[in-house]
Amino acid sequence: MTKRIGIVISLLAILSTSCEKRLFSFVADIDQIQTYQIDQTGAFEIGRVVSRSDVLAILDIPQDAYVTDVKIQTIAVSVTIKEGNQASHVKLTATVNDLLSGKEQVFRDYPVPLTGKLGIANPWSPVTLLLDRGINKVKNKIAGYVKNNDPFDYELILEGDSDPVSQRVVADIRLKIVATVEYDACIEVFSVFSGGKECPDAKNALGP
Amino acid sequence: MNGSKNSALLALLMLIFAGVVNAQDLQTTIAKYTSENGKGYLQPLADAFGANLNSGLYHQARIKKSGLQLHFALVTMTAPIAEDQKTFTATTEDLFYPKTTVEAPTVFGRSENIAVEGVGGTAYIFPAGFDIKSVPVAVPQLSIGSLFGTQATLRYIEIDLGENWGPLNLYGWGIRHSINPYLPSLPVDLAIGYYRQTFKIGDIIDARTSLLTAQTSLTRGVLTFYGGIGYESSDLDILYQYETTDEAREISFDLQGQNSARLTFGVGLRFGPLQINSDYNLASQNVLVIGVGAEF
Repeated sequence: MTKRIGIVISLLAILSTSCEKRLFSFVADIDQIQTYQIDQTGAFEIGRVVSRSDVLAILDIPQDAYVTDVKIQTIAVSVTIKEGNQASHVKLTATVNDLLSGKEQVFRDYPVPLTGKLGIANPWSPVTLLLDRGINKVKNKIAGYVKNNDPFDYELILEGDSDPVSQRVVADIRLKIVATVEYDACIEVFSVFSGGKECPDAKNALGP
Repeated sequence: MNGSKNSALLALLMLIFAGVVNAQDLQTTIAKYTSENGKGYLQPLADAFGANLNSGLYHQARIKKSGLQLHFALVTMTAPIAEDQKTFTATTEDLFYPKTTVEAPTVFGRSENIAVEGVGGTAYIFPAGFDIKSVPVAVPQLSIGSLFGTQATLRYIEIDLGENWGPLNLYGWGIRHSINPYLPSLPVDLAIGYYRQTFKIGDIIDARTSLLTAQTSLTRGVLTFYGGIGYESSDLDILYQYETTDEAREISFDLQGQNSARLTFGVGLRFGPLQINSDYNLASQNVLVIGVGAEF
Protein backbone atom coordinates (compact mmCIF):
# COMPACT_ATOMS: atom_id res chain seq x y z
CA MET A 1 0.00 0.00 0.00
CA THR A 2 2.86 2.34 0.89
CA LYS A 3 4.45 1.63 -2.49
CA ARG A 4 1.19 2.45 -4.28
CA ILE A 5 0.88 5.74 -2.43
CA GLY A 6 4.54 6.56 -3.19
CA ILE A 7 4.08 5.96 -6.90
CA VAL A 8 0.91 8.04 -7.04
CA ILE A 9 2.54 10.91 -5.16
CA SER A 10 5.60 10.83 -7.46
CA LEU A 11 3.38 10.84 -10.51
CA LEU A 12 1.30 13.74 -9.25
CA ALA A 13 4.44 15.70 -8.41
CA ILE A 14 5.63 15.41 -12.00
CA LEU A 15 2.32 15.98 -13.74
CA SER A 16 0.77 18.69 -11.60
CA THR A 17 3.79 20.82 -10.80
CA SER A 18 3.28 24.57 -11.02
CA CYS A 19 5.55 27.19 -12.60
CA GLU A 20 7.32 30.02 -10.86
CA LYS A 21 9.65 32.84 -11.88
CA ARG A 22 13.28 32.53 -10.85
CA LEU A 23 16.28 34.78 -11.39
CA PHE A 24 19.13 33.50 -13.59
CA SER A 25 22.38 35.11 -14.79
CA PHE A 26 23.13 35.65 -18.49
CA VAL A 27 25.71 37.38 -20.66
CA ALA A 28 25.50 39.18 -23.99
CA ASP A 29 28.41 40.48 -26.05
CA ILE A 30 28.53 43.81 -27.85
CA ASP A 31 30.94 44.20 -30.77
CA GLN A 32 31.59 47.82 -31.74
CA ILE A 33 33.70 48.43 -34.82
CA GLN A 34 35.05 51.81 -35.91
CA THR A 35 36.80 52.23 -39.27
CA TYR A 36 39.48 54.88 -39.76
CA GLN A 37 40.50 55.60 -43.36
CA ILE A 38 44.07 56.86 -43.41
CA ASP A 39 45.91 58.48 -46.32
CA GLN A 40 48.61 60.51 -44.66
CA THR A 41 52.31 61.17 -44.63
CA GLY A 42 53.25 62.06 -41.07
CA ALA A 43 51.12 62.07 -37.94
CA PHE A 44 47.37 61.58 -38.21
CA GLU A 45 44.42 61.86 -35.82
CA ILE A 46 40.84 60.84 -36.56
CA GLY A 47 37.85 60.76 -34.22
CA ARG A 48 34.71 58.65 -34.37
CA VAL A 49 31.62 59.45 -32.31
CA VAL A 50 29.87 56.59 -30.51
CA SER A 51 26.33 57.20 -29.29
CA ARG A 52 24.12 55.42 -26.81
CA SER A 53 21.81 54.35 -29.63
CA ASP A 54 24.77 52.84 -31.55
CA VAL A 55 25.59 50.65 -28.57
CA LEU A 56 22.03 49.65 -27.73
CA ALA A 57 21.28 48.81 -31.36
CA ILE A 58 23.64 45.84 -31.15
CA LEU A 59 22.67 44.68 -27.69
CA ASP A 60 20.08 41.93 -27.49
CA ILE A 61 18.80 41.47 -23.96
CA PRO A 62 15.26 41.37 -22.55
CA GLN A 63 13.56 44.67 -21.65
CA ASP A 64 13.15 43.61 -18.03
CA ALA A 65 16.75 42.47 -17.54
CA TYR A 66 18.70 43.57 -14.47
CA VAL A 67 22.13 44.64 -15.75
CA THR A 68 24.67 43.67 -13.09
CA ASP A 69 27.99 44.57 -14.73
CA VAL A 70 29.76 45.41 -17.97
CA LYS A 71 33.26 44.22 -18.80
CA ILE A 72 35.55 45.03 -21.72
CA GLN A 73 36.65 41.70 -23.13
CA THR A 74 38.89 42.62 -26.05
CA ILE A 75 40.27 45.51 -28.06
CA ALA A 76 41.42 44.33 -31.48
CA VAL A 77 42.80 45.88 -34.67
CA SER A 78 42.50 44.86 -38.31
CA VAL A 79 44.27 46.61 -41.17
CA THR A 80 43.49 46.75 -44.89
CA ILE A 81 46.41 48.02 -46.96
CA LYS A 82 45.49 50.31 -49.85
CA GLU A 83 47.21 51.25 -53.11
CA GLY A 84 50.03 53.78 -52.50
CA ASN A 85 50.94 52.65 -49.01
CA GLN A 86 54.68 52.95 -48.32
CA ALA A 87 54.92 52.22 -44.63
CA SER A 88 55.75 48.81 -43.18
CA HIS A 89 54.43 49.57 -39.70
CA VAL A 90 52.24 52.09 -37.96
CA LYS A 91 52.23 53.06 -34.29
CA LEU A 92 48.73 53.66 -32.98
CA THR A 93 47.31 55.40 -29.94
CA ALA A 94 43.61 55.13 -29.11
CA THR A 95 41.94 57.61 -26.80
CA VAL A 96 38.43 57.73 -25.41
CA ASN A 97 37.07 61.25 -25.05
CA ASP A 98 34.06 61.79 -22.82
CA LEU A 99 32.65 65.33 -22.84
CA LEU A 100 31.99 65.20 -19.10
CA SER A 101 35.02 63.40 -17.73
CA GLY A 102 37.75 64.13 -20.27
CA LYS A 103 40.20 61.96 -22.19
CA GLU A 104 41.97 58.70 -21.36
CA GLN A 105 44.24 56.63 -23.54
CA VAL A 106 43.13 53.06 -24.19
CA PHE A 107 46.50 52.06 -25.67
CA ARG A 108 49.59 54.04 -26.61
CA ASP A 109 52.13 53.74 -29.48
CA TYR A 110 51.01 50.22 -30.23
CA PRO A 111 52.93 48.85 -33.26
CA VAL A 112 50.83 47.31 -36.02
CA PRO A 113 52.43 45.79 -39.14
CA LEU A 114 51.10 47.03 -42.49
CA THR A 115 51.35 43.75 -44.31
CA GLY A 116 49.04 41.56 -46.31
CA LYS A 117 47.35 41.76 -49.68
CA LEU A 118 46.12 45.05 -51.07
CA GLY A 119 42.43 45.58 -50.36
CA ILE A 120 42.07 42.48 -48.21
CA ALA A 121 41.40 42.97 -44.50
CA ASN A 122 43.91 41.23 -42.24
CA PRO A 123 42.49 39.03 -39.46
CA TRP A 124 41.66 40.70 -36.16
CA SER A 125 44.61 40.90 -33.81
CA PRO A 126 44.15 41.64 -30.09
CA VAL A 127 45.87 44.68 -28.63
CA THR A 128 47.96 43.14 -25.85
CA LEU A 129 49.12 46.31 -24.10
CA LEU A 130 46.04 48.09 -22.77
CA LEU A 131 45.75 50.89 -20.23
CA ASP A 132 43.46 50.38 -17.23
CA ARG A 133 42.10 53.91 -16.99
CA GLY A 134 41.10 54.04 -20.66
CA ILE A 135 39.51 50.59 -20.54
CA ASN A 136 37.64 51.63 -17.41
CA LYS A 137 36.32 54.77 -19.09
CA VAL A 138 35.01 52.81 -22.10
CA LYS A 139 33.47 50.30 -19.72
CA ASN A 140 31.76 53.06 -17.72
CA LYS A 141 30.35 54.67 -20.87
CA ILE A 142 28.85 51.38 -22.08
CA ALA A 143 27.56 50.57 -18.59
CA GLY A 144 25.96 54.01 -18.45
CA TYR A 145 24.21 53.38 -21.74
CA VAL A 146 22.82 49.96 -20.86
CA LYS A 147 21.81 51.09 -17.36
CA ASN A 148 20.17 54.15 -18.87
CA ASN A 149 22.02 56.73 -16.78
CA ASP A 150 24.39 58.21 -19.40
CA PRO A 151 22.85 59.74 -22.53
CA PHE A 152 26.01 61.45 -23.77
CA ASP A 153 28.09 60.39 -26.78
CA TYR A 154 31.78 59.67 -26.52
CA GLU A 155 34.55 59.92 -29.07
CA LEU A 156 37.04 57.23 -29.94
CA ILE A 157 40.15 58.90 -31.34
CA LEU A 158 42.84 57.05 -33.25
CA GLU A 159 46.14 58.79 -33.77
CA GLY A 160 49.52 57.63 -34.96
CA ASP A 161 52.30 57.76 -37.47
CA SER A 162 54.24 55.39 -39.62
CA ASP A 163 57.20 53.60 -38.05
CA PRO A 164 59.74 54.79 -39.09
CA VAL A 165 58.06 58.18 -39.29
CA SER A 166 57.11 60.25 -42.33
CA GLN A 167 56.25 57.41 -44.68
CA ARG A 168 52.95 57.52 -46.50
CA VAL A 169 50.27 55.40 -44.77
CA VAL A 170 47.34 54.42 -46.95
CA ALA A 171 45.15 51.96 -45.11
CA ASP A 172 41.79 51.32 -43.48
CA ILE A 173 42.32 50.62 -39.81
CA ARG A 174 39.43 48.97 -37.97
CA LEU A 175 39.22 49.08 -34.21
CA LYS A 176 36.96 46.57 -32.47
CA ILE A 177 35.79 46.80 -28.88
CA VAL A 178 34.11 43.71 -27.50
CA ALA A 179 32.16 44.30 -24.29
CA THR A 180 30.25 41.76 -22.25
CA VAL A 181 27.05 42.76 -20.49
CA GLU A 182 26.21 40.62 -17.48
CA TYR A 183 22.55 40.62 -16.56
CA ASP A 184 19.99 38.78 -14.51
CA ALA A 185 16.54 37.97 -15.81
CA CYS A 186 13.52 36.30 -14.31
CA ILE A 187 12.29 33.34 -16.31
CA GLU A 188 9.51 30.91 -15.72
CA VAL A 189 10.50 27.39 -14.70
CA PHE A 190 8.76 24.35 -13.27
CA SER A 191 8.78 24.60 -9.48
CA VAL A 192 10.20 21.14 -8.91
CA PHE A 193 13.15 21.77 -11.23
CA SER A 194 13.86 25.38 -10.41
CA GLY A 195 17.36 26.64 -9.70
CA GLY A 196 18.49 30.24 -9.76
CA LYS A 197 17.53 32.85 -7.17
CA GLU A 198 14.38 34.53 -5.96
CA CYS A 199 13.16 37.26 -8.31
CA PRO A 200 13.39 40.79 -6.94
CA ASP A 201 10.69 43.40 -7.46
CA ALA A 202 10.36 44.17 -11.18
CA LYS A 203 10.36 47.90 -10.38
CA ASN A 204 14.10 47.71 -9.72
CA ALA A 205 14.92 46.56 -13.25
CA LEU A 206 17.89 48.42 -14.69
CA GLY A 207 17.37 47.62 -18.34
CA PRO A 208 17.13 50.55 -20.75
CA MET B 1 17.33 47.07 -27.22
CA ASN B 2 16.49 44.56 -29.84
CA GLY B 3 13.99 41.84 -29.56
CA SER B 4 14.94 38.28 -30.16
CA LYS B 5 17.15 37.76 -33.22
CA ASN B 6 16.14 35.35 -35.90
CA SER B 7 19.51 33.73 -36.17
CA ALA B 8 20.88 31.44 -33.59
CA LEU B 9 20.42 28.61 -31.68
CA LEU B 10 19.84 25.89 -29.91
CA ALA B 11 20.06 22.85 -28.05
CA LEU B 12 18.32 24.91 -25.59
CA LEU B 13 15.18 24.22 -27.46
CA MET B 14 15.45 20.86 -25.96
CA LEU B 15 15.33 22.58 -22.65
CA ILE B 16 12.25 24.39 -23.81
CA PHE B 17 10.95 21.06 -24.95
CA ALA B 18 11.56 19.93 -21.43
CA GLY B 19 9.87 23.08 -20.21
CA VAL B 20 12.81 24.31 -18.21
CA VAL B 21 14.39 27.36 -19.79
CA ASN B 22 13.39 30.37 -21.86
CA ALA B 23 14.65 30.41 -25.46
CA GLN B 24 15.93 33.93 -25.95
CA ASP B 25 18.08 34.06 -22.84
CA LEU B 26 19.65 30.72 -23.55
CA GLN B 27 20.18 31.72 -27.18
CA THR B 28 21.97 34.90 -26.13
CA THR B 29 24.11 33.00 -23.65
CA ILE B 30 25.14 30.25 -26.03
CA ALA B 31 26.02 32.82 -28.69
CA LYS B 32 28.99 33.60 -26.43
CA TYR B 33 30.44 30.21 -27.25
CA THR B 34 31.50 28.89 -30.62
CA SER B 35 33.10 25.48 -30.97
CA GLU B 36 34.95 23.66 -28.17
CA ASN B 37 33.47 25.71 -25.33
CA GLY B 38 30.04 25.27 -26.85
CA LYS B 39 30.53 21.51 -26.94
CA GLY B 40 31.63 21.44 -23.33
CA TYR B 41 28.77 23.69 -22.29
CA LEU B 42 26.10 21.59 -24.03
CA GLN B 43 27.54 18.05 -23.75
CA PRO B 44 25.66 17.19 -20.53
CA LEU B 45 22.44 18.26 -22.23
CA ALA B 46 23.12 15.83 -25.08
CA ASP B 47 23.87 13.09 -22.54
CA ALA B 48 20.69 13.71 -20.57
CA PHE B 49 18.49 14.11 -23.63
CA GLY B 50 19.80 10.98 -25.34
CA ALA B 51 19.51 8.93 -22.15
CA ASN B 52 15.97 10.20 -21.60
CA LEU B 53 14.81 9.26 -25.08
CA ASN B 54 16.26 5.78 -24.73
CA SER B 55 14.23 5.23 -21.55
CA GLY B 56 10.66 4.24 -20.81
CA LEU B 57 10.32 2.13 -23.93
CA TYR B 58 8.99 -0.94 -22.12
CA HIS B 59 7.32 -1.73 -18.81
CA GLN B 60 7.20 -5.53 -18.91
CA ALA B 61 8.45 -8.34 -21.17
CA ARG B 62 5.25 -10.34 -21.64
CA ILE B 63 4.18 -10.42 -25.31
CA LYS B 64 1.25 -12.48 -26.52
CA LYS B 65 2.00 -15.02 -29.22
CA SER B 66 -0.84 -13.52 -31.27
CA GLY B 67 -3.95 -11.38 -30.82
CA LEU B 68 -4.50 -7.73 -29.95
CA GLN B 69 -2.18 -6.32 -27.29
CA LEU B 70 -2.43 -2.54 -27.11
CA HIS B 71 -0.76 -0.16 -24.68
CA PHE B 72 -1.04 3.60 -24.78
CA ALA B 73 0.87 5.69 -22.24
CA LEU B 74 2.31 9.05 -21.35
CA VAL B 75 5.87 8.39 -20.32
CA THR B 76 7.99 10.86 -18.37
CA MET B 77 11.73 10.40 -18.26
CA THR B 78 13.81 12.43 -15.83
CA ALA B 79 17.60 12.51 -15.92
CA PRO B 80 19.11 13.63 -12.59
CA ILE B 81 22.16 15.82 -13.11
CA ALA B 82 25.30 14.76 -11.25
CA GLU B 83 27.85 17.24 -9.87
CA ASP B 84 30.48 16.30 -12.47
CA GLN B 85 28.05 17.32 -15.23
CA LYS B 86 27.92 20.86 -13.90
CA THR B 87 31.41 22.06 -14.90
CA PHE B 88 33.73 21.68 -17.88
CA THR B 89 37.24 22.79 -18.78
CA ALA B 90 36.85 25.97 -20.81
CA THR B 91 39.37 28.19 -22.59
CA THR B 92 38.89 31.86 -23.38
CA GLU B 93 37.84 32.58 -26.99
CA ASP B 94 37.47 35.52 -29.35
CA LEU B 95 40.88 37.23 -29.24
CA PHE B 96 40.91 37.52 -25.45
CA TYR B 97 44.45 38.00 -24.15
CA PRO B 98 46.01 36.12 -22.49
CA LYS B 99 44.41 32.78 -23.37
CA THR B 100 43.32 31.21 -20.08
CA THR B 101 41.78 27.87 -19.08
CA VAL B 102 39.35 27.51 -16.16
CA GLU B 103 36.56 25.27 -14.85
CA ALA B 104 33.34 26.90 -16.07
CA PRO B 105 29.67 26.00 -15.59
CA THR B 106 27.93 23.78 -18.13
CA VAL B 107 24.34 24.50 -19.12
CA PHE B 108 23.35 22.62 -15.95
CA GLY B 109 25.92 24.32 -13.72
CA ARG B 110 25.72 27.08 -11.13
CA SER B 111 23.90 30.23 -12.13
CA GLU B 112 26.97 32.42 -11.65
CA ASN B 113 29.18 33.82 -14.39
CA ILE B 114 32.91 33.12 -14.11
CA ALA B 115 35.26 36.06 -14.82
CA VAL B 116 38.88 35.77 -15.97
CA GLU B 117 41.02 38.91 -15.82
CA GLY B 118 43.04 39.94 -18.84
CA VAL B 119 45.37 42.81 -19.67
CA GLY B 120 44.55 46.42 -18.78
CA GLY B 121 41.39 45.66 -16.82
CA THR B 122 39.77 43.54 -19.51
CA ALA B 123 37.86 40.42 -18.49
CA TYR B 124 36.45 37.33 -20.16
CA ILE B 125 33.12 36.13 -18.82
CA PHE B 126 32.17 32.48 -19.00
CA PRO B 127 28.36 32.28 -18.99
CA ALA B 128 26.54 30.84 -16.01
CA GLY B 129 24.57 27.64 -16.15
CA PHE B 130 20.93 27.26 -15.22
CA ASP B 131 21.41 25.41 -11.96
CA ILE B 132 19.36 22.49 -13.21
CA LYS B 133 19.08 19.43 -11.03
CA SER B 134 17.21 17.23 -13.50
CA VAL B 135 16.01 17.19 -17.10
CA PRO B 136 12.50 15.87 -17.70
CA VAL B 137 10.97 14.85 -21.02
CA ALA B 138 7.45 13.53 -21.58
CA VAL B 139 6.29 11.66 -24.68
CA PRO B 140 3.16 9.78 -25.75
CA GLN B 141 3.84 6.18 -26.64
CA LEU B 142 1.82 3.45 -28.35
CA SER B 143 2.72 -0.24 -28.33
CA ILE B 144 0.76 -2.59 -30.55
CA GLY B 145 0.92 -6.33 -31.15
CA SER B 146 1.08 -9.16 -31.30
CA LEU B 147 2.06 -11.12 -34.34
CA PHE B 148 4.19 -14.22 -33.83
CA GLY B 149 5.19 -12.91 -30.40
CA THR B 150 6.28 -9.58 -31.85
CA GLN B 151 5.18 -6.08 -30.81
CA ALA B 152 5.84 -2.64 -32.26
CA THR B 153 6.28 0.60 -30.30
CA LEU B 154 5.75 4.13 -31.66
CA ARG B 155 6.47 7.62 -30.35
CA TYR B 156 5.43 10.73 -32.22
CA ILE B 157 5.31 14.46 -31.55
CA GLU B 158 5.07 17.31 -34.08
CA ILE B 159 4.82 20.95 -33.05
CA ASP B 160 5.18 24.02 -35.27
CA LEU B 161 7.56 26.40 -33.51
CA GLY B 162 7.08 29.20 -36.05
CA GLU B 163 9.21 30.49 -38.88
CA ASN B 164 12.29 31.15 -36.74
CA TRP B 165 12.65 27.53 -35.77
CA GLY B 166 10.55 25.40 -38.05
CA PRO B 167 8.78 22.25 -36.93
CA LEU B 168 9.76 20.25 -33.87
CA ASN B 169 9.48 16.60 -34.73
CA LEU B 170 10.03 13.51 -32.61
CA TYR B 171 9.56 10.18 -34.24
CA GLY B 172 10.45 6.86 -32.72
CA TRP B 173 9.85 3.24 -33.52
CA GLY B 174 10.80 -0.04 -31.95
CA ILE B 175 10.20 -3.71 -32.31
CA ARG B 176 10.54 -6.48 -29.77
CA HIS B 177 10.11 -10.19 -29.83
CA SER B 178 9.28 -12.68 -27.11
CA ILE B 179 11.86 -15.37 -26.36
CA ASN B 180 9.51 -17.48 -24.23
CA PRO B 181 8.10 -19.61 -27.10
CA TYR B 182 11.65 -20.88 -27.70
CA LEU B 183 12.35 -21.46 -24.00
CA PRO B 184 8.98 -22.58 -22.55
CA SER B 185 10.42 -23.61 -19.20
CA LEU B 186 11.58 -20.08 -18.35
CA PRO B 187 10.08 -18.88 -15.03
CA VAL B 188 10.04 -15.26 -16.22
CA ASP B 189 9.02 -13.42 -19.38
CA LEU B 190 11.92 -12.56 -21.67
CA ALA B 191 12.10 -10.43 -24.82
CA ILE B 192 14.64 -8.66 -26.97
CA GLY B 193 13.98 -5.30 -28.56
CA TYR B 194 15.48 -2.64 -30.79
CA TYR B 195 14.39 1.02 -30.82
CA ARG B 196 15.33 4.06 -32.89
CA GLN B 197 14.26 7.67 -32.49
CA THR B 198 14.91 10.93 -34.30
CA PHE B 199 14.37 14.40 -32.94
CA LYS B 200 14.53 17.47 -35.17
CA ILE B 201 13.93 21.16 -34.85
CA GLY B 202 13.93 22.71 -38.31
CA ASP B 203 17.48 22.69 -39.69
CA ILE B 204 18.95 23.60 -36.30
CA ILE B 205 18.84 20.39 -34.29
CA ASP B 206 19.06 16.84 -35.53
CA ALA B 207 19.30 14.11 -32.88
CA ARG B 208 19.25 10.35 -33.22
CA THR B 209 19.14 7.59 -30.62
CA SER B 210 19.14 3.81 -30.71
CA LEU B 211 18.75 1.12 -28.07
CA LEU B 212 19.18 -2.65 -28.20
CA THR B 213 17.78 -4.39 -25.11
CA ALA B 214 17.12 -7.70 -23.45
CA GLN B 215 14.04 -7.36 -21.23
CA THR B 216 12.59 -9.53 -18.48
CA SER B 217 9.57 -9.35 -16.19
CA LEU B 218 7.73 -11.30 -13.52
CA THR B 219 4.07 -10.66 -12.69
CA ARG B 220 2.56 -11.41 -9.28
CA GLY B 221 -1.04 -10.25 -8.90
CA VAL B 222 -1.33 -6.57 -9.75
CA LEU B 223 2.44 -6.07 -9.54
CA THR B 224 4.94 -6.59 -12.32
CA PHE B 225 8.65 -6.48 -11.61
CA TYR B 226 10.70 -5.82 -14.71
CA GLY B 227 14.21 -5.01 -15.81
CA GLY B 228 16.68 -5.27 -18.59
CA ILE B 229 20.09 -4.58 -19.98
CA GLY B 230 20.71 -2.41 -22.99
CA TYR B 231 23.31 -1.09 -25.38
CA GLU B 232 22.58 2.40 -26.61
CA SER B 233 23.91 5.31 -28.60
CA SER B 234 22.82 8.87 -29.21
CA ASP B 235 24.14 11.82 -31.13
CA LEU B 236 23.05 15.37 -31.47
CA ASP B 237 23.96 17.81 -34.25
CA ILE B 238 23.39 21.50 -33.73
CA LEU B 239 23.77 24.03 -36.54
CA TYR B 240 22.99 27.72 -36.28
CA GLN B 241 23.92 31.17 -37.50
CA TYR B 242 25.48 33.62 -35.09
CA GLU B 243 25.55 37.21 -36.28
CA THR B 244 28.06 39.75 -35.06
CA THR B 245 28.35 43.34 -36.28
CA ASP B 246 30.83 42.41 -39.01
CA GLU B 247 30.12 38.81 -39.91
CA ALA B 248 27.68 35.92 -39.79
CA ARG B 249 29.24 32.77 -38.42
CA GLU B 250 27.92 29.30 -38.97
CA ILE B 251 28.36 27.34 -35.78
CA SER B 252 27.92 23.60 -35.54
CA PHE B 253 28.33 21.05 -32.78
CA ASP B 254 28.33 17.30 -33.17
CA LEU B 255 27.73 15.84 -29.72
CA GLN B 256 27.87 12.13 -28.93
CA GLY B 257 25.87 10.92 -25.92
CA GLN B 258 27.98 9.45 -23.15
CA ASN B 259 25.77 6.43 -22.45
CA SER B 260 26.58 3.03 -23.93
CA ALA B 261 25.42 0.30 -21.53
CA ARG B 262 22.44 0.52 -19.18
CA LEU B 263 20.73 -1.57 -16.55
CA THR B 264 17.01 -1.11 -15.87
CA PHE B 265 14.98 -2.02 -12.75
CA GLY B 266 11.28 -1.26 -12.50
CA VAL B 267 7.89 -2.08 -11.07
CA GLY B 268 4.44 -1.76 -12.57
CA LEU B 269 1.02 -1.66 -10.98
CA ARG B 270 -2.17 -2.58 -12.77
CA PHE B 271 -5.80 -1.81 -11.94
CA GLY B 272 -7.90 -3.29 -14.74
CA PRO B 273 -6.78 -1.54 -17.93
CA LEU B 274 -5.04 1.26 -16.00
CA GLN B 275 -1.35 0.74 -15.60
CA ILE B 276 1.31 2.74 -13.78
CA ASN B 277 4.99 1.93 -13.88
CA SER B 278 8.26 3.34 -12.71
CA ASP B 279 11.84 2.28 -13.42
CA TYR B 280 15.34 3.47 -12.81
CA ASN B 281 18.06 3.20 -15.40
CA LEU B 282 21.65 2.91 -14.26
CA ALA B 283 24.23 4.17 -16.76
CA SER B 284 26.70 7.03 -17.16
CA GLN B 285 23.57 9.16 -17.24
CA ASN B 286 20.89 7.70 -14.95
CA VAL B 287 17.20 8.15 -15.73
CA LEU B 288 14.01 7.83 -13.67
CA VAL B 289 10.91 6.80 -15.62
CA ILE B 290 7.28 7.15 -14.62
CA GLY B 291 4.59 6.00 -17.03
CA VAL B 292 0.84 6.02 -16.84
CA GLY B 293 -1.35 4.40 -19.43
CA ALA B 294 -3.98 1.93 -20.43
CA GLU B 295 -3.38 -1.62 -21.61
CA PHE B 296 -5.83 -3.86 -23.44
